[in-house]
Amino acid sequence: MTAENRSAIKVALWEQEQEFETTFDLAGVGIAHVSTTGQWLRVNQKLCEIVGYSHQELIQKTFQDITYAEDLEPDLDHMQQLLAGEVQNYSLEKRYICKDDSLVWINLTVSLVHEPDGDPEYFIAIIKDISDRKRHEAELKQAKDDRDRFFTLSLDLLCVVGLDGYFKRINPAFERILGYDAAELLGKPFLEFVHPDDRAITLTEVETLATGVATLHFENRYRCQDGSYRWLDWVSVPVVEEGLAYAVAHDVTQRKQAELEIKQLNEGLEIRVKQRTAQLEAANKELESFSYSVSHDLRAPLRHIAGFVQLLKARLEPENLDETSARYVTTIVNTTKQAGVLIDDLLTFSRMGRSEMHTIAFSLAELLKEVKREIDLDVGDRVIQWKIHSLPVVQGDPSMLRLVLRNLLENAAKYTRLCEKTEIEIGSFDHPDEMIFFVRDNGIGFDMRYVDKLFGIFQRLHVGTQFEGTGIGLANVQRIIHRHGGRVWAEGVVDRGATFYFSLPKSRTGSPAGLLISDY
Amino acid sequence: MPEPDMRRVLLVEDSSNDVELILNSLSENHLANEVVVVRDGEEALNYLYRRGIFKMRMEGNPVVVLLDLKLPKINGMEVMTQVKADPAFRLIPIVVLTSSREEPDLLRCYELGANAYVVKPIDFHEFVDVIKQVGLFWAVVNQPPPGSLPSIAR
Repeated sequence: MTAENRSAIKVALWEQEQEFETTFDLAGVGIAHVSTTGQWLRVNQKLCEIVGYSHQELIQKTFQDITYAEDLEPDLDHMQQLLAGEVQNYSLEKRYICKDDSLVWINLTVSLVHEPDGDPEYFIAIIKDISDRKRHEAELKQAKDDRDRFFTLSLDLLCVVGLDGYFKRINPAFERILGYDAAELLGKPFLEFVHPDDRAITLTEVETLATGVATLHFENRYRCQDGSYRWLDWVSVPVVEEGLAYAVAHDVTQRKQAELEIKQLNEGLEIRVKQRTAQLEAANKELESFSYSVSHDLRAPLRHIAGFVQLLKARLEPENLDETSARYVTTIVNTTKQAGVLIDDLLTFSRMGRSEMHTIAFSLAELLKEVKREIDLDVGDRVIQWKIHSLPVVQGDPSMLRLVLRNLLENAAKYTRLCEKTEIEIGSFDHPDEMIFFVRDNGIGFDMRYVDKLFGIFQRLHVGTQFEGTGIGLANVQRIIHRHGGRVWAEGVVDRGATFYFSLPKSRTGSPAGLLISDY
Repeated sequence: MPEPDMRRVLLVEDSSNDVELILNSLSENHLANEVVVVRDGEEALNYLYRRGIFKMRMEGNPVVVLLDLKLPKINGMEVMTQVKADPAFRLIPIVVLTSSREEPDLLRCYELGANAYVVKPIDFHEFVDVIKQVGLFWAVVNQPPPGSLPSIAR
């Protein structure tokens, strides 16, 4: 061997060594030599990166030092097997504890190098960082767990059903709600569990599913183990290529029962309403014949009393009729007349409550004109100073409102009889929700303390001798206005006059443009 | 005094009180002795048709019928219906004389063909006035239709 040959061989050997060194150091996986007791003998750059220790630091440690406690035993077991020659090498997944105390999942492959005499010399460990894969696996598992939970825990019935007519997979809700074992449900065509009356429509629905159209809210009844039926509301999505559908059913038995109860209650209610209406109509009819009777039968005796007493008076006069007797006769006649007026007023009052309202739009100003004419006629020579403002078109029953105006104007005229100059003012106010009308006079007024009694039936605040009247007029006014949905009220000052107000709701009043008819 | 069956006014009224008051009022115009009084609807029809006790009365229709509505046996409306349906009596003027002011009655009577509807006032003076006016108009002023009993010159 020449010196040159020896040099060349040395260089070749050195180059080869370099190659292996480079391979060791720069490999993309962690590579290490580990003593049989676990001491890191030699570690490469990648391994240091994986666990976060430097060369120096790692060399001081054993692999046990940086192995996660749970993973140590399997590792040691395998190591023993390797040392004992039972295996040639082993692979496992384990966790190292990094320098910063975080954990890193790695895949470890270990083989053993023997000494020439056969004794174990050192381990070769290949370490691959599998954190990414592990994380990905964890995510997948979590998703799968969630899906499994949805399927298992769901209170609704979830299933995979074959378009061939069998359940393929059902969740526990089926057993819980229907009462059968899973085996029973999967073993028979599902149609057998469907209520006979619903089978035809169920088949139609399945046919539709088979064409690829999803089902939204299909309801049918399923028979439970105990023989009862429950209503299920289905939503299904088909996967035609696989002959399957994925379905969710909601138990709507309670809702269906509630709906049935409501329907029955409504029907019961309808019947009762019909009965009540019939009762009301009967009562109304009775009232009508009562009124008719009163109208006819009460008037006749009154007329007879008045008539015969007058005839009597005529016969007795003048010789046998002294002042007092004459007065008695007059009293009888007047009282009889009053009774007649009372009957008429009462009948009008009751008629106002019973009769149908015929609501139209009409000019209140025109109506007032007519009533005013009648009043002017009644008062005869007396002069009334009228002050009449514009009045709008209103929505209401003209004959009823005529009565209202007549009553109010009559009152105004009556209670101003003692005035030197009678003033009666009529006008209106426009409010957002209602139209307010007023009739004001400068008559004897009334005490506001008794304002509540004004509209009561038969209530009078003035003695009958001073101002005649039966006390029904204002009660009538109130009744009519209330039937129109309005209000009545009044203000008065003793000896200074009174103002009577009534309102009509706006949705009824007013022509389209709310225009006022100005006539005066 | 005219023969009883030449009296030209038919009063159909069940209340004897009302009969007395009415006749009393009519007497002021000397019309009381023109009045035949019947007490119910059946009698009224018998009179018109000259049946029963009225078989021998003179031919000819009353110049006016004063008709109360509330009558026993056959009531006022039924009388009117029958009378207006018969061509022999259709033209006889009928004045409904009643206590009732009820609108349904008013409407029905005019629908049935009443010539007038008079409500008996409660006040006696008014009552007398009204009866006198009615009597004067229908028995004296108005020209009765053909077929009526002739008036006796007085």
